[in-house]
Parts: sequence; structure tokens; C-alpha cells
Amino acid sequence: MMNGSSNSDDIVVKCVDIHKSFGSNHVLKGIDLQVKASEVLCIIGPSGSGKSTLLRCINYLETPDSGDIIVHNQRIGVYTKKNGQRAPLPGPELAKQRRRLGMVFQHFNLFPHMTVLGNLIEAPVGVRGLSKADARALARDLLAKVGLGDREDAYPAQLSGGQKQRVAIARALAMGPEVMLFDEPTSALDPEIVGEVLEVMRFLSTEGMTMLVVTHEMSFVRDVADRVVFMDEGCVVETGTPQEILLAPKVARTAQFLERLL
Amino acid sequence: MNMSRAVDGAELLVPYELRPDRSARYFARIVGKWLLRLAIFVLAIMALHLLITSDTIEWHVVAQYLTAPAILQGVITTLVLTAIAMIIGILLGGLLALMRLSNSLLLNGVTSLYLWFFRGTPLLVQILFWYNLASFIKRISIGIPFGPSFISWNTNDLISPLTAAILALGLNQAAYMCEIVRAGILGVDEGQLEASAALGMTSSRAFRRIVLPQAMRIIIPPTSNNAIGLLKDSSLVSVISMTELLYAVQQVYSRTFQTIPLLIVASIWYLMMTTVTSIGQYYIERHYGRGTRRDQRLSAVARITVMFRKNLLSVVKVG
Ligand SMILES: Nc1ncnc2c1ncn2[C@@H]1O[C@H](COP(=O)(O)OP(=O)(O)O)[C@@H](O)[C@H]1O
Ligand SMILES: [Mg+2]
Repeated sequence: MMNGSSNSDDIVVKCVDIHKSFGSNHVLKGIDLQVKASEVLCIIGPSGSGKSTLLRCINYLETPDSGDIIVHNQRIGVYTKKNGQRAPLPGPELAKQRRRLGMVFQHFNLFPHMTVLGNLIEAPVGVRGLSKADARALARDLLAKVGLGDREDAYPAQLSGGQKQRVAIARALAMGPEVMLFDEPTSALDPEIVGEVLEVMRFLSTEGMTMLVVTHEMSFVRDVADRVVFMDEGCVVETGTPQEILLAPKVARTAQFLERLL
Repeated sequence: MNMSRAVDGAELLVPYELRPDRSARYFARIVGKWLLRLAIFVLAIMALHLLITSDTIEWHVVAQYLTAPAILQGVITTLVLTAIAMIIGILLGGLLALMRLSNSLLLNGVTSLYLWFFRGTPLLVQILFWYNLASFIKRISIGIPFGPSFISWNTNDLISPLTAAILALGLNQAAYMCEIVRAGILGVDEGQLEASAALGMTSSRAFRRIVLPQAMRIIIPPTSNNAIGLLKDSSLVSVISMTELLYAVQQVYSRTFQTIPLLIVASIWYLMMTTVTSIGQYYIERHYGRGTRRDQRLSAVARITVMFRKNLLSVVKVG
């Protein structure tokens, strides 16, 4: 305990030997990963390599077959019974843990029957227990931050893709998460709109938000990432700074992947 | 075309000529369309003439009975019966849908059996079955199964025409509502549940606040269709002497033999009730349709106009 705690303090997310299979498809084959406070960690890799599955395991949208997800020294999704056995955490408890992890999806998943403001205050009021007035004030702050201060009464169907994704980011931030998980947040967007979403993410990183970003936007990786993880076939192949990975990959598979991208 | 003229880029654009269609087929189509309109017009006049001048219809009898106390009582009974059966149908149907969507094999099996029976036998048979329940189960009691009972009723006292009618219509409706609700819930994008979970909502909250309101949009149109169907099908319970609208009318014409005028009285009331239901459907749909259209600011009037024009156009096209 003593020796471990001093240097694990600034580690926000820790994945230890995560395995996940869908039927006979072994998708994650022992993933180890650490994200430090205020760090932007980008995950790159070919389609089907398990990047989304890893992100979804971290907030337990998928249940890992084995391994530990630890967020600030607390294990996600499991608890240890008095007799020392591990058991899955009951739903409401897991829901509480998930508030600490914000997630942004490729397809936004905004609530279409609520206005922008409704989307932003739904969970803070219903889950976090904020008063409506407080939640509204917080939501307006966040909307201003993502550049949508004037669209709070719009419904998602009235927004462009880039605006939807910025609302989705604000919605996740409204829960005050300790880390933000992004799963290809710009992959569903028209090329000319990608920039406005990346700009918001870049701004978040300057504010010190801890971020785990799955992306194919290499300019974002180069400029914003503190560290890059290259994943292939369910394994972490290589980890390093953007310079190391993008410019001088040590592993042939990484080089091949990057070549195909350019 | 004179090719040599096409030197400048703009000259290359051949002006589009809208030449009037003067083919024989075109004229045949126009003549056909007008003949059809004429035929429909003549038929409508004939029907109207028949309705107004027919001796058997006796419009003064229709007017006399339209608001007679016995008939109004029947109308109210029909409405109450439909409302209660629909509420049972929606609540029980919703419960069955949740059972059907659960992972439990037992609950799935129970639901399948329920649907199999209630959708597989005629409603009329079910009505007669409930009415004659007493000859099948003599007593109904609450207590420990196969053990002592705390309260017990004679089935004959319990099953009146009213309870039999409510049971038959409600339980039958539940079977159909189950499938409607299930389809509605399945129609909501899975990403909505994921987003709710990622925001820390419990599954019951996500269902209440996120899934159900969106499912309602899918559930409501077929539900109001069912309500209209139920309103009409409730006339079937006249066979067990339940005094709803049709039976009230039958009681009158069995005395006076003014069959046709009284059936018209019933029809007028049924039409009024189904029309009001349809109008209610429009407003409920509009409420749950929030956020689905880009042109939110379109006024109700404008939207009805658009709706009307679309329907009218499709009718004309079919014609
Ligand atoms: N819910 C699921 N059920 C079955 N197979 C899945 C499921 N989710 C992902 N997979 C499979 O897992 C593999 C990795 O998918 P994914 O994590 O989405 O990859 P990536 O995000 O890197 O493109 C793919 O082969 C995919 O078909
Ligand atoms: Mg993916």
C-alpha cells in the first residue's frame, strides 16, 4: 500500500491485463494501459483492432472477461466480498461509478426528444442531484465553452453534425467526469466540420482534462497527444510520444499502418 | 444542332425545351381521369338521393332516437367499456412486452403462450368464454394454493355481463398491445441506452426518461388504431346482453321494428366517437413528435395543411 500509493496518485485510469472475447472472437488479448492526470492519450490502430471495445470496457459498457479497470484507486464494476471473492457490482452502484467517466460516441447519441439544454441537464439533475437552476447555469457555461451558447433551445435534429458532437461533449462534461473517453468523435463528420470538434477537444486538454481518445486524425495526435498507443489485433503493439510513434515507429506493423493512412 | 456555333462554353448549353405532350396516350389519360371523376360524382349523388328519399330510413326516427336517454346511456357504456379495456390492454400489454424483452426463458414462454391463445382465438369466442366462466370454475378464492383460502366468491356473482366484457376486451387487447409496445421499445436506437448508461443513469431511469418517450412515438399510431378498433369491437359484447350502444339500439328496434333508422343512429354515434379519437391521436402524436422535425416552427395549421395536401395528392394520384 505505502510504496504504491505515492506514484499511483496521479494515475487516473489503469487497465490491467484486460481480456475480452465475443464468442470465439478474442478481441482484447491482455491490455495494460495507464493514463496520468491531465494527460491526453491517443489510441490509434486499424479498424477491428479492439479500440472501441477497450474504451467500452473502461466504463463497463462491455464487461471484460478478466482483468482490472482502476479509476483513481477504485476498481470499476467489481467489488470484493467479505470472504475475499470478487463479485460484479450491482447496477445502481456501477451507474454511480460511471459518472466519473465521460464518454463521447462516434454517432453522438444525443437524446432527440429533448432540447440541447434538456440533454445537458437531464443527468446532472436526475443522477447527480443538482437543482434545476444550478444544472441550467452549469449547462449554459459549458455550451458557451463549446461555442453553442445560442442554441440551447434547439432540438438535436436541427443541429449540424459538428454542433451535435459539441453538445455531446458538453453533456458528458456536465457530469464533472475525472476522465473523458472519446471514441472516434469526428469519424461521422464531414471533413470541413471535423476541425470545430477537434478545436473543442484541444481546448479541453489545455484546461487539464484527462483524455483517452480513439481517433484517426493524425494532426490531432501529433499536436495534442502526450502519448500514443498503437493497437492491433487486440494487443498494444507500441506506446510512445507522438514523435516516436508517428515519425520513428519501432515496430513494422505500426509503420505499415501509418503508411497506409498517408 | 449547329455544332460550329458551340465555341463559347455557355453556347454548349442546349436550352431545355418544354414541348407540350400531344400524344394519343396523353389525351386518353386525361379523358379517362375526367370520366372517372364523373362516375364518382354520379354515384355520390345517387347514394345521397337514396339516403334522403328512402322510406326505410325514416330520418325523423333517426332524429328522435339519436339523443334518446336509453341510447345516450349506451354511448356512455361503450365509452367507459372501451376506456377500461384499453387501460387494461395498455398496462397488461406493457407488462407482457417487458416480459417478452427480458432474458428469462420462463417469462418469454408465458408471454408466448398468452399471445398464442388470445390472438389465435376469435374475440367473440373469448367473450362467450368469460361470460360462461362460472360453469368452468365454480368459485374464485384468494388464499394459499391447494391450502386454506381467505376470501372466496361464487364465480356467478363475480361474472356479470360487465365484468365478462371488460375481461374479454381487456385481455384480448393486451395481447395486441404487447406486440406494439415491444416493437416501440425495440425501435429505439441502442446508442440511446449506451449514452444513458455512460452518463450514470440506472437502467430503470434510462428506460423511463430516454427509451419510453422515444418509443411512444412509435407506439401511439398503432395504439390509437387499436383504440378505434376496440371502440367498434365492443359492440360484440351485445351477445352477452351487455347494454352498450349496439345492444341499446337492438332493444329499441326489437320493440319498434325500426331496424334501419336505429342502426343509422348507432353508426352516427360510432362515427362521432372514432372521429374524436382520431383527432385526439393527432395531438398526442404531435406531443411525442417533438424534436423529430427540422421545421419546428411550422404552425399547427400549416402542418395540417401540409398533411392534408399530401393525403389529397395521393388520393388524386390513385384516382
Ligand atoms: N457487441 C459485439 N458483439 C460481437 N462482436 C463484437 C462486438 N463489438 C465488437 N465486436 C468485434 O470485436 C472486434 C473489435 O471491434 P472494435 O472494438 O469495434 O474495433 P475498432 O473500434 O478498433 O474498430 C471486431 O471484430 C468486432 O466485430
Ligand atoms: Mg471503433
